[in-house]
Formats: sequence, structure tokens, C-alpha cells
Amino acid sequence: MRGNAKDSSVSSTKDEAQIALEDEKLLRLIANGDRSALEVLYERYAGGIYSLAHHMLQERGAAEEVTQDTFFNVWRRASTYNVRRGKVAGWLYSIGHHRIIDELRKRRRQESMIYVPDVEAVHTQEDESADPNVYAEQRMQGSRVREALEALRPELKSVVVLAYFGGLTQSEIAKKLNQPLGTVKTRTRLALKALRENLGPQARKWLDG
Amino acid sequence: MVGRLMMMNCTKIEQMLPAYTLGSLVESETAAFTEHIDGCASCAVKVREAGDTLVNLARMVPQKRPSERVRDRLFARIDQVDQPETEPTRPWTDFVRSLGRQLALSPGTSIAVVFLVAAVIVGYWTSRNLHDLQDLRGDIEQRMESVAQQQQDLREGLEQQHRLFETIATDPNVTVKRLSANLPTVPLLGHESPSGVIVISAKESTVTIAAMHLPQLPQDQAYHVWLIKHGGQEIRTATLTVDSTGAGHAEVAIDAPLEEFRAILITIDDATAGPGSVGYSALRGDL
Repeated sequence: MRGNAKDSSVSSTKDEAQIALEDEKLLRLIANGDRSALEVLYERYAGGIYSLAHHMLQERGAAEEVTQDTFFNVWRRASTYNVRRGKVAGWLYSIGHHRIIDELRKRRRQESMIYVPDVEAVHTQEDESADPNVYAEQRMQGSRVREALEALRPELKSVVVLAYFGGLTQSEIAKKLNQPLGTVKTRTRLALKALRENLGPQARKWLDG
Repeated sequence: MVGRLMMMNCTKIEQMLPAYTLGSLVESETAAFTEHIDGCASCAVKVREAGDTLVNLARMVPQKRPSERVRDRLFARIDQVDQPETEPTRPWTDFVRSLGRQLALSPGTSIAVVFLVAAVIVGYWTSRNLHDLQDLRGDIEQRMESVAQQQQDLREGLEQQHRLFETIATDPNVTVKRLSANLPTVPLLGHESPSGVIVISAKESTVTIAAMHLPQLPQDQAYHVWLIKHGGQEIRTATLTVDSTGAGHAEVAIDAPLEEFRAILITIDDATAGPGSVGYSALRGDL
């Protein structure tokens, strides 16, 4: 595997705030055409983006394409990153997540079907082949967030899963759950609030950086 | 978009933030949302916090690594974008001379070899392109059929318009209302903004609907026409048929006083939709 293995394990050894600063520096270098900076950022986040895409699209080829597109967009749009909007990780996942949702919506338009993720199967078999350092760190964080999601009331959990992992719009969720649109909006707001509260002060540090 | 940005205030942004975080806004809403964020520092702070939630939700899924070919393709793509223009190709004479030198052949023999290779390539190219030409012919025939269908639909559409104009011109009890697109639905349809008119004939208790720029739907979906009563009750009355040019037409017979109804709604629902509208609202017009 090319790239620096230490970069892969950086999230488990460095402080989150320091990583955020490093990410911002990397992005400035990328905006100036530095390919090695993109290599480092790719090492750091490609696994996360690919995993999310694979989970949502259930197809390896499509997940690879989304991962490639996400980092290609990072290369092209690095100069448009606005630090006020959030950390680089959030920006990057936002690009990836929107790209995945575009793909899901395109499929729905073409196939005239609504993919409904299994609300009970957000966590499936874990992949032992992932980088052990990243895997251990992300599994720890992932399990805390998963517990927080599991602790939500079923009607709140289903809104998060359908929206985030299923890529459904609020109207589509309302239709799927046979609930008024206003109810879906309220549940979305309550779900995110409860999610943050369920995570507790220790895990909230991850959220607040 | 600028108009919508102006309308979108910080309270509205705060209401939309959870949906934005989960990615459940439609494209036009997302665009208006991010435009506001770029110009508003206080809202940007809230979005920053929400971005962390996004990252943590993403980390919930089983972690995998993409294969090395993803990285290779990514950097090859970047190379392609950044690469300077390719050098001009070598002239034929240089190529023949170079080949002769490399194969230690005389100039005459080199030329003969080149012609032989060229003949093989042209033969292969011709046979392969014959198949392509047959495919192309099939495509052209299919497109011609499609164009003929559109011409037929246009003729019928013009006749319908003509009848509608006649009704408007000759019936003094006729009123015409406008049908407007439900804007958030438009990008979802991936189509131009639809619009239309409602022609209400009080004398014959009928409502005629004519709309345009409507995409054709898959077989299991349909445009349903709903009459909305003042109390909010929705009554499904007819299905709007849409032709290959995107023109939609429906006639609705009203068996109650028109005053009881306040609006007409056209939705995209399952073809076998039940008694209440649950689909996307595509067009709406006040009566």
C-alpha cells in the first residue's frame, strides 16, 4: 500500500483539534496544487467515505466511484472551503454524503423505486480487513454513536436512518412513514437533539471538537 | 435563487438545519441554505457543530478500505485534467523511415510493410464499423418513430388548445385560472418548471386542465388531479394524461357547486393511490 502508514493511524494518536488544524493546512496546500497533500488527506479519509458509500449503495463499484469523485471534488474545490462552515472532515463527509444521496436519488428516478434501508441493520458485519489502527479508533467512536442511536425512540431512530442512510427527502420520509411532513420535521429535530444528549459529555467532545 | 436567499432568514435556517445535516433537503433547498450560510456568521457556527454529527454518523458503519485502484484512478484523473496538451504526431515520412531503421529494412520494403498493416487495420475497421452502422440505423429508425409520435402529439395538442380557445371565446360563463409549479418538486423531477391553466365552465360544471413541461412518469406512477374543498378535504377526480411533448390534459366533471372548492392540486402518486394524496405536489392552482 502506498502512502505513509503513520498518516492512517493519525486519528488514534493525535488530538482531534490538532488534526483539524492539520487538515486545514493540507487543504490550503491542495488549493495550491500540492498532490502529496491530497495523498495524505486521502489516506486519512478515503476509508470513511468508501465505507459510508458502500453501506448506503450496497455496491462496491458505485462506492469506489463515489470515493474517487469525492476526492476529485476536493482537488478541484479546495479553494472554496470556508472554515466558518465547519471542520475539513465535516466538509469532506458532506461532499461525499451528498454525492451518495445524488446516486441514490438518480437510481430511484431511473428505477422508480424507493430504497428503504433496514432500520434495524445500520450496523452489519464489520470488516476485519480495514487498517487496524483506524479500525480500532473508528470502531470505538462508531460503537458509542451506534449506542446513542439505538437509545432513541423508534420513531426518532427511523427518521435518522431513512434520511441519513437512505437518502430520502423529508417528503419521501413522510410518505414512507405515512406521517404529515410537519411531524417528520419535528422528529428530525428531536432525533438530532436526543442523539447529542445520549452521547453524553465524553462523546460530545468528538462532536464539538 | 437570490430571491429565495433573501426570503430565507436565520430562523428558517435553524429549522432546516437538522434536515440539512442528514442530507434530506431537496437540491434547491440545499443550494439556498448554503448560500445563506456563506453570508451569515452566526448560522455558520451552528452548521459547524452539525457537521461533527455528520462525521460521527458516518463512522457508525462498518469500516472498509477501498482498493488501491481507486487511488490510482483518482490521480490518473487529476493528471488528465492538469496535463498539458499532447505533442503533435510525427509525420508519416518520419514514421516510415524510423520503422525501416528499427527493422533494418530498405525504404521500399518498409513502405510495403506499412501498406500491408494499414490494409489489415482498414479491413478490421470496416467489418467492425458495419456492425456499428447497423446499430446506428436501428437508433435512427427508433428516433424517427419517436419524432413521428411527437408530431402526432403536437397536432392533437394544438387541436385541444383550439377547442379550449373556442370554449373561452364563446362561453361567457368561462373563467381561466393559472396553475403554478410547486418549486421544490421541480429539481426532483429533473425537468423544466411545469405550468398550466384551468378553464372553468360554470355552465357545464366542468373544469379543463391544460399543462406543459411535465415529464412522463413510469408506468406505476400517475399525475392525479385533486379538488380541494374549503375545509381542506381532498377529492381525487381524474388522471392527467401527458403526451410525448410534455403536454398534460384532463377534464373534470364537477357534481357539486364550484363555490365549495378552493383549489386544484396535481400530484405525482402511485398509479393505484388511495383516497388521500401522499405524493409530490407538482402543480397547484387556486379556484
